[in-house]
Amino acid sequence: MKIPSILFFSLLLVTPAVTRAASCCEAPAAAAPKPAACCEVAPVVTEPAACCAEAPAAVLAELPDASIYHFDAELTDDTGAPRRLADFAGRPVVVTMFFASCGYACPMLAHDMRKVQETLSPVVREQVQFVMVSFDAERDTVERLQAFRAQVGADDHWTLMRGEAADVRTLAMLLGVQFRKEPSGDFSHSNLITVLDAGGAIAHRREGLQGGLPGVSEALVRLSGG
Amino acid sequence: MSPLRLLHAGLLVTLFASGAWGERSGMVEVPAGEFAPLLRSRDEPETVPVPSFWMDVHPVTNAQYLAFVQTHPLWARSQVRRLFADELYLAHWTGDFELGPGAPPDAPVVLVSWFAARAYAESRDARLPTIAEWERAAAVGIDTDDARTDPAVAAVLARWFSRPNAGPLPDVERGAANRLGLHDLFGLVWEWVEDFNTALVTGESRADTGLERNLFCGAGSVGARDNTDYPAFMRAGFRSSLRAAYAVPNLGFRCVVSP
Repeated sequence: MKIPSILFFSLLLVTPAVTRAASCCEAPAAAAPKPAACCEVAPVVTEPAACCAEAPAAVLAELPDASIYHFDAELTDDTGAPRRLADFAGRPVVVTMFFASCGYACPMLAHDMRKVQETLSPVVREQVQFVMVSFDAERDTVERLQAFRAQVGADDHWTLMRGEAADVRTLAMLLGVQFRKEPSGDFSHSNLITVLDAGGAIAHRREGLQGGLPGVSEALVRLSGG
Repeated sequence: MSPLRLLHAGLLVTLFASGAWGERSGMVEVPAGEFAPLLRSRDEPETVPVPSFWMDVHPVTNAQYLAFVQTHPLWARSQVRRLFADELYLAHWTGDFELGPGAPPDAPVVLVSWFAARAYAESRDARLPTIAEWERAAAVGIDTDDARTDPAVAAVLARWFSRPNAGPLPDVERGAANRLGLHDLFGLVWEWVEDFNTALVTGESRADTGLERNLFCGAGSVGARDNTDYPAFMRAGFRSSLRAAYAVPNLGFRCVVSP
């Protein structure tokens, strides 16, 4: 009798833990509705406003329904730090998806983003964030992202990120990027540059690899109030 | 009650609570098999192996989805964010928590977005099937093991493709199951798959024959397997026309779990 009763009690112990795990629908703890004081005034453009790299709470609270920043999965940037897309709220963002071993389109996309960056006036350039997110959850490690950063000559207004496969797929869905993994491990994918406004809504899209860059720049100038 | 009886009861309670049986109730095992992609790259093998998985016997019903919305009110019709579901989301329901005459409880739920379908699956510790898994399950016929040549499947599909959508959908499990025990893979609704956005065709692909190298990296290498597999073309075409926030009147879903 001894062994079964021990088993039974251990089963009793297991049960509550399991039932608790099932109630997964609790709303996430509400973010403190404190406006980030330093962000209430327009950020001084001559130096990067450090505290505004974090999403200002005021901006988050007023995100439009179509804001991509409602997607709150945790990604990792090329310093290894956890990031959320909403970290970029409050400024215009240029976002593309890529994979670091891409030999054809991705370096061109990065090159195009740099060309856009170079056309911007210093005032606008200071506000704009360039974000590249990798499809390649397996191969694109933080080190690989760092190497890609060096390869394309990205400055500190650029953030390269990786994420879990399911989250990368969600982001691709939100941006309208199609991709598929080929047996070689490489990816076929849409070539798409997306401009997000301060609230994270899609403000402009450039499809393909030819032309269209002035449109991207114009959107950024418009969104920067410049 | 003897301690042994108690042990037995405790074990049953634990198994149900943990979902070891609960999650799979209403599912059948799809044995490991192969998937022959309709569109594949030049250097892609003709078939890819698909490990075994468990799949819902029928598409998720209105009643099942209602239970989910009641416990996850952020997915109620008036609460959901447009980012995750367009304005047609659950438009055939009477209210946030009311099905009404347009949505019989045992009919498959439709007008749900990919994001919504995925959230439902997650709430059950399940996921959406991949294209490979869905097609592997649907490759098994009703009367024979090969759906492509099974006259019973052809008859169901022909009826479906030629019938306009009118009125509420019929209940699930009205038709015969396929040889794996799965109902409604053919002839009731289209179904969301996890990776529907991997079909690399352009939005305006009706006129052209191939894929645009300019728009898609690597797309030039993708070509069709079998020009005669009409239902597979229908599904591929349908999937490539979707966006993840779309809610579509004849598009539902079912869940899978890996063993």
